[in-house]
Order: sequence, then structure tokens, then C-alpha cells
Amino acid sequence: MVETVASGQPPVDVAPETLRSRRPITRWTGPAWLWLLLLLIVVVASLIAENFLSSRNLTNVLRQMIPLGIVAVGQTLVILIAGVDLAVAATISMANTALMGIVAGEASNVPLAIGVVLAAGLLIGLVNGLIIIATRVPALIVTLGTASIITGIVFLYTDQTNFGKPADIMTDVGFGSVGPIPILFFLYVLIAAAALIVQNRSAFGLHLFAVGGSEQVARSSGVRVARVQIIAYVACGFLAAVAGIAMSMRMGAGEPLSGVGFDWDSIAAVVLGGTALTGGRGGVGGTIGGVAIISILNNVMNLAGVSSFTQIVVKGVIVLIAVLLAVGVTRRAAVDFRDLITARFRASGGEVPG
Amino acid sequence: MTAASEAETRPALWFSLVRTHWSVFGPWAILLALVVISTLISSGFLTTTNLVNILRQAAPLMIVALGQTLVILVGGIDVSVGALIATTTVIGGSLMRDSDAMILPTVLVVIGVGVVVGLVHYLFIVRIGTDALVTTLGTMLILSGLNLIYTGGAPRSNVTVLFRKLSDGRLLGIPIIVIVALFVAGVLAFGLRRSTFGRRLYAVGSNREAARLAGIRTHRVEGRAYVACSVLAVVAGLALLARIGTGDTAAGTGMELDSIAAVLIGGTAFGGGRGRAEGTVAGVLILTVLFNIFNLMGISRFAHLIVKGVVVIIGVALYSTRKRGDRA
Repeated sequence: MVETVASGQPPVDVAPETLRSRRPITRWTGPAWLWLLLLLIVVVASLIAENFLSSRNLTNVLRQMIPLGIVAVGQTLVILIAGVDLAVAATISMANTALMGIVAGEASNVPLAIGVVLAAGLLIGLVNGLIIIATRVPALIVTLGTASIITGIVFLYTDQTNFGKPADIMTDVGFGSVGPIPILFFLYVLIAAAALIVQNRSAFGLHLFAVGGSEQVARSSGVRVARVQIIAYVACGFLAAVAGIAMSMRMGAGEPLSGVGFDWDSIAAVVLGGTALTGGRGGVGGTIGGVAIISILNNVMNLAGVSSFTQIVVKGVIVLIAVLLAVGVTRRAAVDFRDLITARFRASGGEVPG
Repeated sequence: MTAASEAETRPALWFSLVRTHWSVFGPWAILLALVVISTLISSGFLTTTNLVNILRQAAPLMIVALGQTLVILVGGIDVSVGALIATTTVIGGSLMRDSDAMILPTVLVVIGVGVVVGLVHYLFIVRIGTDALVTTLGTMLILSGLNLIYTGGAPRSNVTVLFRKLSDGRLLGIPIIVIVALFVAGVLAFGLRRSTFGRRLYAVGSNREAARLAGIRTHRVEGRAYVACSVLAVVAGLALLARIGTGDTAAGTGMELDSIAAVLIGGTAFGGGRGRAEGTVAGVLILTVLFNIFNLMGISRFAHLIVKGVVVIIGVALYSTRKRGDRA
């Protein structure tokens, strides 16, 4: 991609107060149009399918949201730094089959299995990040390669058949709910909240946007770019493993293809949520809305008896709409993010070279 | 700097030549090494039958990957080609209806479909300015959904014997399909170098704004690249249809990623402006030879996936040309 460096422009002088008040809520919630769209979809959904608003169905919607939501949060972090992670689908399959394989029906094995799977997720993220930084090969290609490797390992491990067995305690958690809210939904809320706080309130969050806006400017501003990139990929791999575990809680066996589609779905959710694939713009808040929209649409189409084939077409149309909306978002953003970051660094007392 | 120290710091001539032109003959060096290793490993490798077989297997991928090269050269990407190949086989299989007279109309219809898909990409990516990866992902989903709806998931087989000659038939001992693929490769290799369109493609890919200021209608150049890519995917679909003889919604699965891998292994830079059609041919052959030798050795097809991943990463890393210097 061609990088346009606005070196000739003088940096924009913005007072810190203005920056703080510029988009105070949308930094947490994502763009407003997204939630209006969600509202519209809910209204239409309740008109089309009368049992959509039943509490049982709403519980179902929340349940379906969990794995996609958790991966999409990780994917958001990676896309914010202008990367992408296509290995999440394979990581989820890995988490699912490894978890089931190690547990093998014994509740006492569950902690070990979860530990192993989470460690594997961290390792996958670390390997992705290290290869991307060391070789400077585009993230798309690296994660495509690691996805292929992980899939091969999963197939070898399982011989491409259903594999392992869950313990009762796992299914209890997976199907259990507190009132109308599934237990694991709290996990998703926790992860999303943590990501939002990190994104908006920590130095690392600011660095994510800085690296995504312009690697070079971030580097000259003293951001340790490589470290930020590695942490983002590690977080994404870890969250994919968590999503795999969460998904496994509702399954009867490990399935080597269980993660298929989560790569593109999570990217679609992130893009729908208003995060720019070029990095530096957007955030977790929008992704939460994007995940909700995709999950509700899937649910409504199931309720309305739409064939799974047609659902694929609809998903494609949604992706195209999302990518069109993304263009609008990029165009409307009047303040160049790079200038914003520069100004924020200055506001925080940092030295900004040239 | 004195003359002596200059001579010391200057690397040997052959070394600097290798380094500057690595992305040109690197792929061929890898292919040659692979062929040598394969010959040593398996006695069945270096036989005419097997080599012709490799070329025949490589032909559809080569045609798609050449189209993919054009799109990547202008800084884009097209992940919809796999689904479009399936669409081609599905429509082709059902339109031909065992009638030789229908071959030409069928070919025209599917090429028309390819042009339409390419124009949609042009409209979205070039005119509106959407992200190429996500846009083509969208068309991929739409196409594969439509394929499934149209067929109901069941394969359709109505390919005529005459059409299958495209794969079975030989000219001077070479399968026709291979001749087609090599012809496309030759046209692109020559065209990229010598034609105005080819030069403009590089100009747009390396710096769109500079190309525009130089008077190139960048939209038109990019649009042609996307349309050419879709049309070549259709041609690859026809080649595949001739080989498998059935319209199959699963045909072309994985070809989008394989084609991208082949292009990048062939030394074309992700992000545009640098690369060659010949490199893509080498990239395709590297992948195909690799799978061929695995089959000959009876290695599990699951291990293929692992090795493919490793090869893609290493292959691309070998001539990743983004300079380290930019980390100021």
C-alpha cells in the first residue's frame, strides 16, 4: 500500500481539552450509526419473526455472540495496528480439539487442558508477531501460512475425525445461565470491557493507534513499535484460544473444522464496527456492535427459515455494505489521526520530533 | 574513502548481482533446487509422464495466479477467484448439456460472468475506494452462496467429450491445457514488459498519485487489472471443468490463497509495483512440484498443509524487500 507522508504540513495545534471532547463517547461505543443500524435490525427482526423477542431466543442470541465476540475483540487490536490475523480460525479449531483431547471426559483434566490451550494460543500469537516483525512479510501472508501449519497439525492430531470428549462441568458452564444471561456471556463482557479500558485509558492503547496511524511517526515519537505489534498479535492469539474454549463448552466433541469461518467473520465484524483496515482508526466499541449485528442477523435468518445457502449470500452482502460504510467513515474523519496522535503526545508533555 | 577500503567493503560482483536480482531468478533457483532434490528422492519424478502430469496439474492454478499477479501489481488483492472458479464449473456444467454446439455459448456466458464480477470489483475498489481484501471477500461469499443455491449442493455433470479434450487432448505431446496456460503466461510476460498497459500497471502500482499526475488514467488501468483477473479465473475454471468433467461447488477451493502464495513466492511484491509474470509461473511450479513429490513419497496430505505454510512464509520472506532502514 502506498503510504502518503504529509511531511510538508505543519502539525495541527489542538488543545488537550478539545481532543478529549472531540469524540468522547464514540471512543467507547463506536460510531452512532452502527447502533442505529442495530436498533433498526432489531425492530425489523421482531416484526419478521414473532418469537425473536422471546427471552429464550434472546438468550440464544447472546450465546451465539460469545465466541465470535471474543475473537473479534482480538482481531480489532491487530487491525488497529494495520495488521490482520487469518490464523484465528485455525487457532479456534486447535483450542477445541486440544481441549477435548486432553480433557477426555475427566473433570480433573480441565484446568490442565485450559492451561495448555491458552499457552498454545499465546505461543501462536507470539510466533505470528515475531515472524511479521523479523521478516517484514505482510501479516496477511504470515498468518495465512501459520493458519495452514496449525490446520495441518490439528488434522494430524485428530486424523480429521471428531475427537475427545468434554467433562460434564464444561457443558454445565456452557449451557448454564444466570437468569436469562448465559454464564459465558459474562466472560465476553469482561474481555470486551477490559479491552475497551486498555484501548482508551492506557499508554498501550494510545500506542496501538499511533502504530496503526503511522509506524514511522510512532517510532520517532518513541513508541516501541515492535513490542506493541507483538503484544497485539499475542493478545489476538490468546483471545482466539479463549473463544475456542468458550465454544467447546457447548459441544459434544472436538471437531477439527470447528473454527472454520471465524477468520473472515471476525474481520467482517471489525470492519462493520467502523475500524479501518488501514489501521489507526476505530476500536473495540464498534466491534461489539458489529458482532451483535452479525449474530442477530444469523439468528433472524434461522428463525425465518432462510436456507443456509442464502445466508452465505446475505453475509456477503453485509460484508460489501460494511466495506462501503467504512469508506464513508474514513472520508468523514476530518482530523487526520496522525495529527491527532502528534497533538496528544505534545499535550502529554512528550517531545515530538519534526 | 580510500580506494583500498572501498574495495574491501564492496562485495564480490556475483554476490551483488545475486542480491539485486534475487527476486528475478530466486524463484527459478528454488524450483531448480526442488527439482534436483525430488529427482534424488524419488526415481519416479524425472519421467516424461510425471513432468507432463505436473504441468497439467499446474495449468489451472497458473492461469488464476497470472491474473492475481496483475491485481497484486496494482496494489490490490482478489480472494474471490476460488469462488468464481466454482461458479464457472457450475454454470459451465449445466449449460453445456452434452451438446458440442453449446460449448461456445457456454464459454461466452461464463466469460461474461467473469467480466461482470471484475466490473463490480472495479466499481467498489477503484471507483468508490473500498478495501480490496474485504470487498473481494464479500463477492466470494456471494458467489459461493449463489453456487450452492443454484446447484442445491449436488454436482452437475454435463460436460461434452469434445470439451474435455481441452484437458485430455494433446498437441505435439503437450496437453492443450498446458499450452493455454503457457500462452497466457507468455502474453503477460511480454505484455507487462513491452506494452503501454504493462508499463502503466507498474506505474500505478508503485505510486498511484505520481502515475495520475503523469497523465495515466489510473482508474482505467486498475479496472482492467481486476477485470482481467476475474476473466482469467473463469478461464482457469473452464480448464478445471475440462479436467474434472463436473460442475462442482467445491472446485477452486483454496485456489484464492494458493494463487496469492504463488504470486508472492514468485517474487511479486505485496503492495504493488514490483513483480513479473515469469516469477508467478515459477511460484506455481514450486508449489505443484512440492505437492507432487509429497504424493510420490506417500506423505500424509495433512503434512502438505504444514509444509505449504512453511514454504509460503519462507518463500515470501526470502525476497521481502521492505527495507529495514525505515526503522529510523
